[in-house]
Amino acid sequence: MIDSSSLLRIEQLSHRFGDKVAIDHVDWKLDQCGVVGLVGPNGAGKTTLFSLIAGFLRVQGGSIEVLGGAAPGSRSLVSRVAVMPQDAIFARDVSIVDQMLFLRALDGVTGTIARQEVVAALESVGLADQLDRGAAVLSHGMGKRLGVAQAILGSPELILLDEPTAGLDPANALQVRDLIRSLGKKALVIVSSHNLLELQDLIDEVAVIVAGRMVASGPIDEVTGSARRFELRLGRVISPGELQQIRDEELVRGVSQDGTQLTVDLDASADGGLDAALDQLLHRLLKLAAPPRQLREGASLEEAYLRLTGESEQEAAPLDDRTEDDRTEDDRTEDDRTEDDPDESDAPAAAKTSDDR
Amino acid sequence: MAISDRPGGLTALAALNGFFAISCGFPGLQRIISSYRLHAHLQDPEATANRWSRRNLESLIEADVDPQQMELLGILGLVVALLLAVSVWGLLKRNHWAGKWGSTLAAVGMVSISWLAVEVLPTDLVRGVGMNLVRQMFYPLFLLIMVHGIFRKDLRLR
Amino acid sequence: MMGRWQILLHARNFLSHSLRSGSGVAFIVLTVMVGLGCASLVFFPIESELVTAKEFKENAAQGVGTFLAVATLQPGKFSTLSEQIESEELVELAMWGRYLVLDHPVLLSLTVMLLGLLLPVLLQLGSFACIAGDVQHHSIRYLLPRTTRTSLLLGRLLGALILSWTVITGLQGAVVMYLGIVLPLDGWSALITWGFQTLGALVVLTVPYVALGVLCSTLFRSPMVALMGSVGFTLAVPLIAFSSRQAWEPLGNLLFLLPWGYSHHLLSPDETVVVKTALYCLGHGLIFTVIAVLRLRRADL
Repeated sequence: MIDSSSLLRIEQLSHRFGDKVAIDHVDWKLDQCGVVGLVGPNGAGKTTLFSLIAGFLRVQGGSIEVLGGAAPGSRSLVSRVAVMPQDAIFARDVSIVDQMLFLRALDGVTGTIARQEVVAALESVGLADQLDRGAAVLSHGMGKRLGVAQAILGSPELILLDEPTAGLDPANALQVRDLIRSLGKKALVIVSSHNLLELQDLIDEVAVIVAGRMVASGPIDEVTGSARRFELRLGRVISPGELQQIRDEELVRGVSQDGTQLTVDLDASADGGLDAALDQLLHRLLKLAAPPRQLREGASLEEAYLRLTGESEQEAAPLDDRTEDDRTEDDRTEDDRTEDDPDESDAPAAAKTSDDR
Repeated sequence: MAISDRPGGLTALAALNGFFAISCGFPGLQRIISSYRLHAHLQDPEATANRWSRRNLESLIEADVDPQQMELLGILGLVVALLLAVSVWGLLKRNHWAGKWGSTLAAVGMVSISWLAVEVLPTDLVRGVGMNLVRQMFYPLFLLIMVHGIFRKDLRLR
Repeated sequence: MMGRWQILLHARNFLSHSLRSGSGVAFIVLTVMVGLGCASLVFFPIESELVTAKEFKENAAQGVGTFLAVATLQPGKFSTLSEQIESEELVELAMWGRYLVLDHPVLLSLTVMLLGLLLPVLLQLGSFACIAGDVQHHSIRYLLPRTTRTSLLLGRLLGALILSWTVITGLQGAVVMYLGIVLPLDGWSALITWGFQTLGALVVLTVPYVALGVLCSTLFRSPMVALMGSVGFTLAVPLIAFSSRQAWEPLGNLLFLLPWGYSHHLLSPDETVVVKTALYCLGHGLIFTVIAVLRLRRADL
């Protein structure tokens, strides 16, 4: 029996596009407001899952219950669920403000109030000066921000954002992240993104989907398995022997080196948690007369992601086994893909499959 | 990023204006040439060597066509064609003056030509009367409604 | 209540969007131009008669002399062309008017019949992009969280119908006004009655064909394919029906897949037949609409 208090409950959800299995017996339950990340490799089924929750695609197997028991796309969910689809475009022939006003009118809000809300939403994503422009002239990033703006119109209880910061410049990405954070206080916001470092700062829970199967879901600490990654810049380059000494520390799971840069995975699950692990690491460095000049938390989620998706074995060697050159190359490739190639995701593949049917 | 956010309707309207520019310009040019020939024929009927041309000009004289009025109609046709051509550019560039007011003047000009042609020219030269005339009047009216109504915001001063 | 409000909103949005789109402008211009072209074709004999009569009057005046002309035609006595034509000298033209408007309105309705043949194809231009355009570009995904699929489809259908009805009403209005000015009539009442009857026929005829366009728009994801599908089906039905009837008579009934087989009864002088035919047309439209709603509700968008 479905718990009526669930904001989202998915049971044994399956979906196919022809012969291709896009979603494979997925179970997922989200009970509280907050920001939830949905991550996975390209073609893993993230956009398909979003489309199923939003009601764009018909449920083929299993069940989805949204906001206390309603089926996706049902009348009771109208204006309670907001979606920022990844691949949708706004109408070319009508100005942005008119399109937003129309969306608000569908919610039953018109006139001055609607206009004020629309202008406020566009201001919050930095598009207030584009009100009378057509959507066709917007850049990729502006289009993304417009998508976010339409999703935050009104008071949706469930917000699905598919790659909301992909292609945005750092300032706008920060603005959108702040917006998502504030939305998460009063609604359930599910965000899919390839930028794991960004997600790590933003989300309360995470779900990892690989080849249509949900391989992990839950609070971020649970999913990362208490492994915390830290990036350190030292005053000098340490020797392989010294590196081995760091590696031998009880609470250090792995270390890699790139010149004066160290990337260390710590085990925060032991007694004393993260503080104890950090204490151990810093003591060792001080003993080696290599005090860190800079220390910052790295992408622990990325480590967990690579572990869960199996990409760490296939594409990136484990930290311990990697040489300096390997590490740099692999990590740069990953970073480049997520930062510079925002369109790389499963959405086009899914849409294409859908179109081809 | 798309090159322009111009509505498809404005592009279609520009294309139609282009078509009507041609359909106004060529008859205008033809009327100016005919008026000069008519003038020359009135001064010296023997100067027109071609038998078909002579018969054609004589039929115009029989219909009491004034070469000056015909010339005026021709010039008006060319002016309207020019206005329409300018409005094509204006509509494509979403220019207030060239797009909106070029189209407006062109529409008024098209109506004037149709009306003057009925008044001045014999029936067979107007290419039909009545319902055909209604048809000729439709596009200018439609153009006025579109540029002053539907695309009012798109063609306003920026 | 919200559903109705949303249907009206979708209809209004579709209307304004259509007028701003290239296909909308093309639809309006083509429909009016083709409609006036049909009318022009039908009225040509009447117009020729009028011109001949005018020329006859002028020639007579020139030939017999001013005095005789004044005596014969009594210019100044008649304030309008109608009165002039009603005079004994031009009585045959008055007969034209009476014959067409009062005695044999179906003849006058030739223009309507011609439109009835062309409209089914033209109407597809106004409805083919109702749904397909938004599905192709996934714009529909911005709308779906805020509306139901049924409201969206019914709203777009209503918008397409209103657009078509407006264009047809404008067209018919122009024809009636023109006839009222040109034809020698005792009064406008008969012409206006005729105008309303034929307008009603065209308005009813619009429903199934626009619904067909919307149905094709839900069946195909690409607007161009939807347009080709709806136009192709509209034209293929009579072509296949007529050609296959030669082989086997009952195949001629394929004509009834669309209102082709019975739409001409909309101009019947028998009111019962007209009402029945109108109901058939609306029924046809309803069937297409229901299929379209079912299709859209089950579609992956």
